[in-house]
Amino acid sequence: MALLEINHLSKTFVSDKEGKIEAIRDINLKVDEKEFVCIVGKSGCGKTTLLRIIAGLEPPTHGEVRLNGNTIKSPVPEIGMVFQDPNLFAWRTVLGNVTFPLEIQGFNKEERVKTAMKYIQMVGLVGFEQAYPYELSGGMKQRVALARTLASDPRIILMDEPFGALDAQTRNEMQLELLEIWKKETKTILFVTHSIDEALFLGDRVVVLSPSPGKIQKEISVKLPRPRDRTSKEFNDLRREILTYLTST
Amino acid sequence: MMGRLPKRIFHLLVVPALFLIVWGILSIANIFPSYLLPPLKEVIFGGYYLATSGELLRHITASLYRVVSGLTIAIFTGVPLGILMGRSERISSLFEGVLHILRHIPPIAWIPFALLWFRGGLASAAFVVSIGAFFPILLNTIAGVKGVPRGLIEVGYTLGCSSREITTKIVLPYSTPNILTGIRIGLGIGWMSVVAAEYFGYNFGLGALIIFAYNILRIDLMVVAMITIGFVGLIIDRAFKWLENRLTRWRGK
Ligand SMILES: Nc1ncnc2c1ncn2[C@@H]1O[C@H](COP(=O)(O)OP(=O)(O)O)[C@@H](O)[C@H]1O
Ligand SMILES: [Mg+2]
Repeated sequence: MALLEINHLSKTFVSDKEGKIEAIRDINLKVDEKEFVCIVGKSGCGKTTLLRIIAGLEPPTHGEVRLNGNTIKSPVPEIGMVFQDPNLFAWRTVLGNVTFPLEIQGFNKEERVKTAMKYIQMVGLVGFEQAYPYELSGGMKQRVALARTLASDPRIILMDEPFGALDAQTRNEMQLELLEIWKKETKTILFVTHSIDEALFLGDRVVVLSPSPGKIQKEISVKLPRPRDRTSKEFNDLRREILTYLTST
Repeated sequence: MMGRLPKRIFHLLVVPALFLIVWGILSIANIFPSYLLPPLKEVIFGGYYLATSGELLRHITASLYRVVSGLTIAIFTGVPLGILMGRSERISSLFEGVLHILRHIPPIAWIPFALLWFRGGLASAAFVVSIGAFFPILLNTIAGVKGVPRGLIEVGYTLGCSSREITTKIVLPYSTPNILTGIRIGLGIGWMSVVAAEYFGYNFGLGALIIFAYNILRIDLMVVAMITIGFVGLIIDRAFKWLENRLTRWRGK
């Protein structure tokens, strides 16, 4: 049995102003333990909606999400999420943000700091423990958000275009670091992006969503060894293939 | 050749100095009877007497004590109610109507009731102060709570917070700048309300001093009390502003 199973998932928003908006339609997806799955699609094709439903933040209109066979109805500790916006707690330091989930889980102070420091080190923020979010760059903020989610120790991490707001170079660095962390922590990651390049660089599998409403157009296994060479022929062949799926409807 | 700070102090002092000069000249010229404009000299002597005898300090502390008591009541009622109203549309609509009417009744209108219900003393004055301080605290708390980004609350839920932890660990700290602003405004209104509350039935307090001086026609002491109210008000406002800035340094700049 797959760790995460998404069965016939559909979501239609009903708003007073715009009437009905069908965000996603009949999504079926299985994600195995320790897999790194990327979902790629244009903006507005329902990527955020899909992740929010998986996280238990939004009820689906049809279908269900199952974790180890149990239907997700509200947020669960096994599923963590890194949002597009880092959503840091501005009144807490870097350390305070990362210890937050540990505080909620009832660890004592010593354990909290010890665990938090491990993740702060993992995301490369040693020396910034006492800094407040306003003192950090966009990339650093997103690192804190990742460390905070890691500290809550979920089995699955959902990531919603976490590097979307970063400059290209920082973005590439963060992708490499994320792969390192994924290997070290043996997490399952479901990563959403609008960048084909990013999806191909990261994923064991790339799921292509087509827009309005978002449906799965194609699933592609990426067998290339890591770290992947973005300039290689194989990489570019896959890039071209995905592009054709993204633009066809 | 003056530095920036001395220049600023100079600017701040120009108008008060001119005011004192005009007042002094008018006093010496003896144009107005002293009950309309007390001579500057008398006010200075009166102030000197009240300050050195320790009487003034006693009036100040009496008033401050009542304000702090009333403010404490207002904080412990206004903040929780503000959080409830900010978090729940239903609770908000339940209380909104009546609160928006009560809000327009000035604290001083409650003075007779305060005396009837609490029979004077600390409780009556603190009650009047708490009415004045309650609304700015409530309204600012509601504004702060409503301003909490949805993303922060959702992050909280995905990190395992219960609904209660969302309130205490996310909503409350996020709203502290607003709550502190509300408390500072409430403190100012409370300071003004306490003077009126002390007009009836109090021996000490700056309001009591004004009425006492009025009754024995010591206009100079009346003016001393008024000036003291102004200065103490300024000092507590600035002190609180300083505290506010210290507590919200995480906002940056
Ligand atoms: N809460 C909502 N209410 C109404 N429509 C929504 C809501 N959230 C998303 N949508 C709509 O659903 C569609 C998919 O949005 P989203 O999941 O944010 O796409 P993406 O993350 O791929 O950019 C869009 O048309 C968007 O306007
Ligand atoms: Mg999105």
